[in-house]
Amino acid sequence: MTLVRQRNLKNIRVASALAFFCLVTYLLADPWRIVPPRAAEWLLAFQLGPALSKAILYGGTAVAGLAVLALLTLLFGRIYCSAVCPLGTLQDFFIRVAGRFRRLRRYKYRPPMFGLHYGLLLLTLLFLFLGSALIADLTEPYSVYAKITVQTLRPAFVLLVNGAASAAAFLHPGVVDAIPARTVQVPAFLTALGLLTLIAALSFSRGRLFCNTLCPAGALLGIASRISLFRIVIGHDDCNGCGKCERTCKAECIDSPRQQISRAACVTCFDCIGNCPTEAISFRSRFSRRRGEHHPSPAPPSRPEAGHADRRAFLRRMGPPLAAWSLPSLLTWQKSGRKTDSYDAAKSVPVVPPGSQSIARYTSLCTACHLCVSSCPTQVLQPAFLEFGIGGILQPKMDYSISYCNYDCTVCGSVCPTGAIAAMDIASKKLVQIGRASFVRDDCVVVSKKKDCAACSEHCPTKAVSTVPYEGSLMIPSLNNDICIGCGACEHACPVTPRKAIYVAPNTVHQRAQKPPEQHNQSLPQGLKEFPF
Amino acid sequence: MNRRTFFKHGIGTSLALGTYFTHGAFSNGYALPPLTYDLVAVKGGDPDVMFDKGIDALGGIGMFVRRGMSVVVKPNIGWDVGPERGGNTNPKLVGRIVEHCLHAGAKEVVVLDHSCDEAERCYRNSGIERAVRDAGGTMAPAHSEGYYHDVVIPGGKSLTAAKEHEAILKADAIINVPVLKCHSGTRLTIAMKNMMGNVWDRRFWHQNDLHQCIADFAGYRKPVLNVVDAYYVMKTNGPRGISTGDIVTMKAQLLSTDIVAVDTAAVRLFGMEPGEVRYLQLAAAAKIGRSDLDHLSIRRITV
Repeated sequence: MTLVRQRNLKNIRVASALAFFCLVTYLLADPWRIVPPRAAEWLLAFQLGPALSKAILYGGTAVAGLAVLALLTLLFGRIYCSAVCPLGTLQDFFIRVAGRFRRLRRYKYRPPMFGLHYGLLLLTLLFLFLGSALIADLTEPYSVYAKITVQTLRPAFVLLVNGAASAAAFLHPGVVDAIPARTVQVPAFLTALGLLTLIAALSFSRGRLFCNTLCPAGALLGIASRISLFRIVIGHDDCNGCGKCERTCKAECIDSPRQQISRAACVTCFDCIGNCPTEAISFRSRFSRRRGEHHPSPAPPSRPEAGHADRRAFLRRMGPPLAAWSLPSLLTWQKSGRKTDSYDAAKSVPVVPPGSQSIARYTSLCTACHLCVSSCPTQVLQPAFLEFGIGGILQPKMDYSISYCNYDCTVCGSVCPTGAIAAMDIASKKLVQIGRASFVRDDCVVVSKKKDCAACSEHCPTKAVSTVPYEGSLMIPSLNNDICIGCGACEHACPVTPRKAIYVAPNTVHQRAQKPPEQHNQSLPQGLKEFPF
Repeated sequence: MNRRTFFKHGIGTSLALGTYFTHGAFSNGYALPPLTYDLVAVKGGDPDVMFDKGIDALGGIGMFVRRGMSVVVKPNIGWDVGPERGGNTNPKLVGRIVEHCLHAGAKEVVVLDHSCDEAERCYRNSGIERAVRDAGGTMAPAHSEGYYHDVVIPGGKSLTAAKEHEAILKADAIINVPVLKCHSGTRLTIAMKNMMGNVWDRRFWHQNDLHQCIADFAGYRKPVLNVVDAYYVMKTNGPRGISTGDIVTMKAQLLSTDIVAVDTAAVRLFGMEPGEVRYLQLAAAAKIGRSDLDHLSIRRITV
């Protein structure tokens, strides 16, 4: 590693971390929604969890991102955790703040909990395989960071901008376009706040403990980093055994007395290199030798073996009960999805966005990063709380009480980083039926009040809801579900409360709607001939 | 083309208009003469050109907008569709009206609508946002309740109170610029129905006799001028429309200070009878305006 001086490694790492952190944060909080979906796609191709999901589902950009990450990891170890991961950077921020408060009490080496860590990784994958993204939802670092940002930072930012807009509007109306105040869903906000508190507490007390126990990306990268070309090593002859490296290692992976670094737990932050008073620590190729370095290292630690044993025991104990627990919950949930004959049954399961293909597919792939929630122009996408069951906590749903799906919009699919919402061209999107409308004739204003209304028909983009003559001159809504796409415009516009007289019941598996029949009105090439008055 | 070059080059009738204004006929304090016509009907030109002719026949925009006034131009920007779909007022017409107002010395010209589809997309994709900015006007956001304030509708039968947009409340004059369309709820949407975009809570109207609410609101808030865009007229699947197949290219425009008269004429233009649109009957009965076209003085212009 002569191209870069050892002490500059940390600066490069910090620069990269801050760049990713700022870009990802802005993308998630973007109050003006000016980041083009294509840019979002490229940026998030470098987020390990979503990129893996999308690469497996569709290939494309995500594969390129993954290839880069794989190469970086094989070369430099878990550099991702310190130079790319936004949740890692958030933790580093907390760690820095904590450092200000307690200069003396620092970290000490603890044997990595590989059993727990790899066990959780396997459990996460098992859950995904069984059709629940629950653990990934709560531990995958991009998704955790994203929902914290969308649910807490974004509203704060919007509040700030709107405050400035009101102040400006006071001086000159229309000077600043205020941002539509996004609805804050209290359960989602509180859950995100809870996650933020947890992350803060973990990093305040134990540095990067999250990364070495709960994080599935950290586990995966840890495995790869065991064979990385470059790694951080302690030169035994230069080391004076002062223990400073161990005290400053936020990953708690340096065993100073034994001059060992647990490579799989090391997040490659390079902090130790700069802190070593004798410059004994360096980032080196595994093939390069240094004066006084023993190769191979003496006295290999025996703890990893213990870790393997732990992991096996853990899986033996935990696997069957968890599988047994998750399967029935999936089945009961699917059963309720089929009962769509009444208002309550229809509302018991949420409608999922076009491109998600089926509720089961969607809930098994979405890790609730809420990028679609913050990108959706109409705000119809809102985080669910327990509507998808505990396994689908915070996954976004179509909330027609807030808005409806814009006919000419495909934003959610184009930004979704995991592929849970597939990207679609506008023509196909317009034919995806995510649900079907039901009309409760007796509750309709036209029947109950004998007055014209037709707000539903007015808003319907396909005229699946048209109007036909009723009593006298009144016009009453009439439904053609073959061309209904379930966008919810009718339900949103219906003035009847609390139960809408027209509502959308979800399609458990999305269907293809027929194309709305086009009219061909007689054209007047010259325009009007005579005024009829 | 911005409004300066437009007037400088004297396109349309602007040369005549320009001379008129530079003579200072309508400086502050000048009493307005009575209008020559109750209704002006124009056909056969582009929306902007037809407006030039039509407003000229009424004596120029200076009959309605005087120096220093704050003007709101209220088009229909309800839907996320392009100009060729006829779902929103033609952007060329809106832009031209803004130009005229500013030339007449308006302090500011604000354009807004409480859209049905997502507001930003409606403003952008209707082409109106660009046309207004190019003309020197301002688009006012209207997508959140904070912009609307309580007003009382005196004499309203169904609608006795509403929340109206603050830009309209502050304005000295409103120019109402609807587009003529069929409507699955009220049969037709023209000038009176277009005023529904001034308020926040439209569900109340839908729940409490929509026709009566439209008539009540027309009695409360009278625009200084109504300009009905009947260039692309949506004959089927209104008010949003499904495709350009819903459109008949009529190339017409109606101008009047009388909202009932202009709606009555527009109903005829569409090919229906005024009796078929209930809110129009209610408004005529409440003497909000005149529906006896035969007794109105009408100027008919073919471009």
